Amino acid sequence: MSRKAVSSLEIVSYYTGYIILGTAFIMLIPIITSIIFAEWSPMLDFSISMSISMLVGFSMMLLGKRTHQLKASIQWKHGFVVAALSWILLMLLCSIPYVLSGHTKSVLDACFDVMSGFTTTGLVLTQDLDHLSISLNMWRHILTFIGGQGMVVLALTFLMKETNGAYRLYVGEAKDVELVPNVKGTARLIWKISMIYLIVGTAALWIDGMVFVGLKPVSAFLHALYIFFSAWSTGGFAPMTQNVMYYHSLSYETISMVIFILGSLNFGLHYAIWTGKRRELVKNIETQSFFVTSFIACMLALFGLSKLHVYPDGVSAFRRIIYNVLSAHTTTGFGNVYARQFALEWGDFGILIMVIVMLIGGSACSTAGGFKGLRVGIVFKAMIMDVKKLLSSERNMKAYKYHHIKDHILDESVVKSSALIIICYMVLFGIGTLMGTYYGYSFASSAFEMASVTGNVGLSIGVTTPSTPAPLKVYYIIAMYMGRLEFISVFALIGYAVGGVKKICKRS
Amino acid sequence: MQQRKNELAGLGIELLVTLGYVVLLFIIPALFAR
Repeated sequence: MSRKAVSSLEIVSYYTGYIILGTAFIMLIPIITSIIFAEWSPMLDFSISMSISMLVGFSMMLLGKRTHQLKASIQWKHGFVVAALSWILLMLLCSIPYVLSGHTKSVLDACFDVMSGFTTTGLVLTQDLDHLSISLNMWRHILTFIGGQGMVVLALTFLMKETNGAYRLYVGEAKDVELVPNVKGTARLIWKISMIYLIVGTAALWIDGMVFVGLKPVSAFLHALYIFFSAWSTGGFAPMTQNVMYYHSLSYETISMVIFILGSLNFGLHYAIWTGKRRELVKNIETQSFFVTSFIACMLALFGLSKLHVYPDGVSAFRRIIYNVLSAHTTTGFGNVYARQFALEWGDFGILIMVIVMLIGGSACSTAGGFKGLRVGIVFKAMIMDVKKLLSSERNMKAYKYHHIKDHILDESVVKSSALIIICYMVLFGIGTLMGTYYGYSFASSAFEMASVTGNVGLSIGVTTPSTPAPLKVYYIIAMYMGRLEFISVFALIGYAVGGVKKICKRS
Repeated sequence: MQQRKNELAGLGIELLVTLGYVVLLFIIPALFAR
């Protein structure tokens, strides 16, 4: 065996292959579904896709097999690059069933839908959703579910034996809370929390679907499962073209609302509450931030839209305004109004409220997107801290704190990194809005759609359609990807690629 | 056993608080519309 040190390429290749292999195995679920419902053509599509994915996964692991043999440890740069690279490769591999199904106009549209699912955005370019096979529908919702949990978390939970450097992979996927000291245990706890909610949430939606919506038992179960996957992952996919409007049910919407609010909360918070730290619900900076901003946004939207007399009674105001504002704030993207209604009925004020809440988003280390309540809370607290410092005597050296699972010192580096991420999101949003207006969409429509893409929300004002210009679709894919991975991993991948190119150039 | 109890209680509290918040947001537009 060669004693030469394991190269970065081998390490990246090995772990990326591992994650791809893990996701390839997930394709067994739609394959089993297609067998149960006798959908033979989709079964073939998924078998082909799974074979190709496994081949790619195994080949990459084989390329980096010395990583395993020599037990090479992962450095921070590897963790970030593996997370970013595996998301790109999985987007390509997981889009194969879409392309083979014939429900997408192009490979680009299929990749868009997969990235939309993985990043829990929920924007759709797949055509004729109402007549999709059950197995492809299952696949769409599974993508959004595992995307919300994280592919690295999935691999850590079910595949990887060694934990050497696993935390670096985990952080690379924009999750940085350790529920227990070992990262594999943390990954398992994330899945445990989600699985318990999966049982409770699906059961509630299933019963409601049969009793109040009038669906048949099997259909009600499938709809319940799909809607749970989307709501918990703050995804926004639904099995029908009309999204949750299809159900015409206040109770169904209320249950989904409870699920997506819970899904947008930090896994660390769930764990703290489940281990007896009940006060965390009130003390945590993220819950404080979420409840304050969501309440203010709901009230402002309510007052703003009441002037337009669009939704005259309390029930319709709750179902249309509160539901959509909360869906936007939690970055879910379930909508119960038609896309163009936002543009035609909500007015500039309503659209602006939606843009702001979509950009703020849910909690860090949750399935939600956006800046995250934690960062908004930190920056807000830092502003108060600065004002207090200005007003107090110069000798006052009091350390300011914020509470997030435990007390943290609010130092300059925390504020700086939070502000930097917020700036990155704003730049991403600004460029996309500019592109939207360049392609002829109105400023309000461009800003709304771009906020939805940047915050991984999924609500649409009508810009995202199969006829959207290809460069805009590509930018939206990049924005969803960067927004979900919170930039650092993507920058690391770009840096790694540029470094590789430079090395090759020097050699030649 | 104690861990199971804690988890169940935590789940219940989370569901109740979230449902309570949703109900609060239901009541406000209803009052507002009157």
